[in-house]
Amino acid sequence: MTKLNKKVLMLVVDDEKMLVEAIKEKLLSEGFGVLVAYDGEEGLSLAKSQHPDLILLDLLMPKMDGMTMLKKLREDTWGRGVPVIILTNLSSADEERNKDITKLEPTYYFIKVDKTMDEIVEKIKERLNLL
Amino acid sequence: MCFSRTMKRKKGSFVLEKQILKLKKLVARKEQVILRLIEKGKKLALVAQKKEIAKLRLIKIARRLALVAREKESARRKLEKIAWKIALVAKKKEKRRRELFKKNEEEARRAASLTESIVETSDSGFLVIDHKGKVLKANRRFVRLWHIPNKILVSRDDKKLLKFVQGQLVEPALFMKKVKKLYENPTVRIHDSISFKDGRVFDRFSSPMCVSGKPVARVWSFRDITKRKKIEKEIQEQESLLENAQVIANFGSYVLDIKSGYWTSSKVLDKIFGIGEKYSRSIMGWLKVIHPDDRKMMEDYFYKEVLGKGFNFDKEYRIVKQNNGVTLWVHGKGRLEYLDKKKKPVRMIGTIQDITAGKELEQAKNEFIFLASHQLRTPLSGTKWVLETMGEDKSLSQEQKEKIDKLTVSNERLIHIVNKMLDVARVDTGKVAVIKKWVKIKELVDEVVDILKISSESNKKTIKINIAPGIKNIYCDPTLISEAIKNLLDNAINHSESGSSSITISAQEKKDNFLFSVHSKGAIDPLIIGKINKFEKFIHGCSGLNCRSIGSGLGLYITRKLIEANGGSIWLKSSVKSGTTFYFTIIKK
Repeated sequence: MTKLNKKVLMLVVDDEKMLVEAIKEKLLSEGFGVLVAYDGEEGLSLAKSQHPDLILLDLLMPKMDGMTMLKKLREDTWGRGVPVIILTNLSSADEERNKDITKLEPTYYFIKVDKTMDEIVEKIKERLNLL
Repeated sequence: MCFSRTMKRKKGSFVLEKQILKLKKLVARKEQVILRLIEKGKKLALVAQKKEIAKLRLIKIARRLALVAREKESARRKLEKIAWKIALVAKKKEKRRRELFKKNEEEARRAASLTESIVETSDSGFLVIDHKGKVLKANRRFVRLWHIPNKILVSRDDKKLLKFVQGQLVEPALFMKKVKKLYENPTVRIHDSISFKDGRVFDRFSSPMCVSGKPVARVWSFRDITKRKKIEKEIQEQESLLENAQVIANFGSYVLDIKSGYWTSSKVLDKIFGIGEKYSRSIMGWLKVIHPDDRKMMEDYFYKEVLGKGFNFDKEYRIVKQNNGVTLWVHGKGRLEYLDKKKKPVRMIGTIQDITAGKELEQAKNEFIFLASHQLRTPLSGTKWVLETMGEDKSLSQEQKEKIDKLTVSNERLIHIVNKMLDVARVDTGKVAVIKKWVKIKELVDEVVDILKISSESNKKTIKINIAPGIKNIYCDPTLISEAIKNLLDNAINHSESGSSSITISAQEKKDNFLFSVHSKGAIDPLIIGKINKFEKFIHGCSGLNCRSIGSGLGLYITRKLIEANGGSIWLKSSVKSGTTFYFTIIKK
């Protein structure tokens, strides 16, 4: 799993340690490089400094929530185009939030409980043209 | 002469003389005669002259007379003409008088007959009594109202009449006193009501009947107002009920006059708005009550949607109570009223309900969904992913693998139920986000069928797709519709007859909508079909121990909500012979 001899780098931003561990293990086993952040603030600075190829982003987090982080990321020159998959357990029924989400153009909005990690990895590969 | 010449020759001069004398005498006599004649002539001339003068005078007089006569004649003629004219006018007048008389007579007759028919057909009873106490007139209605027997009626005696009627009254003494007083004061009028022992109430009116300004009789009229009184009482009760209902439901009402832009309000509405009697009830006044953040939106809504397009007013918005500045949520509903369909609306009648409490509850509910979805799903997703990781471990024994599989199934069931409950909470708040777009319906159905492949195969069910070839793109919310189809197919897979059979999903195009159906074999227990038809919560197509379903009992309820949110309806038909078919519609754009 290499791209120009360089590992494809994932950034996982989520405050739920059990979930982070599981997805990290899965991504590593698929050959990705994995960065981990436990809140939006940390996630934003890691993203800006490390320029990952794709970000898996939770929404409900301490310090800075996922939506705010995504907004700030989209203001950044590099961050404007980075693929982001929102991975949360919040239903996307809130109209206001739906509007925000549409504007920030994440690649996908997934409900964690509805997706297996296999399915997530498949979507990542699809987005990064790795299939 | 011959003689005279002979005499001259024979006798001579004597004879001549004698003759001359004689002649002389004759001449004298002649002269005398002549003189006399002259005298006479003179006299005659004088007379003639006098006569002439007289004649002239007479002629003058005659002339004058003639003139006068002529004038008299012309005057006479004129007079004659005038007299003629006068006679003509008189004739015409006479004719006219006769006509008028005839007409008056006719009119009088007609008026009399009209009065008679009015009196007889009126729902008032009439009675006319002269000053001697004689009944001049009593119409049939009067007789019926007072139950007057014929014997008394033909007697035309008011005393007998009074004696008869007072037995029917609640207060006969008072009645008699009043009657007596009125007969003593013939010019007085009264208007009051009298109560009967049998519960009836009469409206009584009495006034003098005057001829040339002098009262000659008294007219009484009676009207049975028992029903009216009852209705009045009922209306009063209803009004007070309505007012109480408004108070209890916190429900105000208004009537807006579109032309003037002014509205009237019920007491409860005044209380909701926190306004007093003097508050300016204009459209501006209404906008002033609205919360500043909602004002522009409501102004646009009212003018563009309601007045502009003629839509019913139906909107939830915030207001600021004018007397204490508290913000409230209200639900305004209203309907435009027209005198003529083609013309502009004349007024709007509507209600405004204080829904603040409900809104707060809704907000709490939304917050609950927000948190619960996170709090409940997080551990479930953690378990799901950890189990997934564990399942991939190649070193596991068969027994361990089976245990992990079982854990995964029960975890999935829990996820399913939690998801459904969250869906219910979501659809119950009525805030299902509907995002419609053109959807390739065949692809959508294929996708759903694909997702259910494993489940249907394990239940030995084949899903057939039968979409009418003309249907290509449908304008709908793909998330809602695919979820609904998934629920119905899921339902058919898990609840239809056990053993191998097929399930068919069909779509047909109708005039106003697209009709979808999901058919499967096996009937639903008639005992619970009624319940299912209502698509309520917690209903299973099975009961007690026979239940082999793993459903949450929420699927059909959610499906109904999803279909309705997309602007359609859902129903079902079920029989042992033809199986069970669920139908739903998607309205056309």
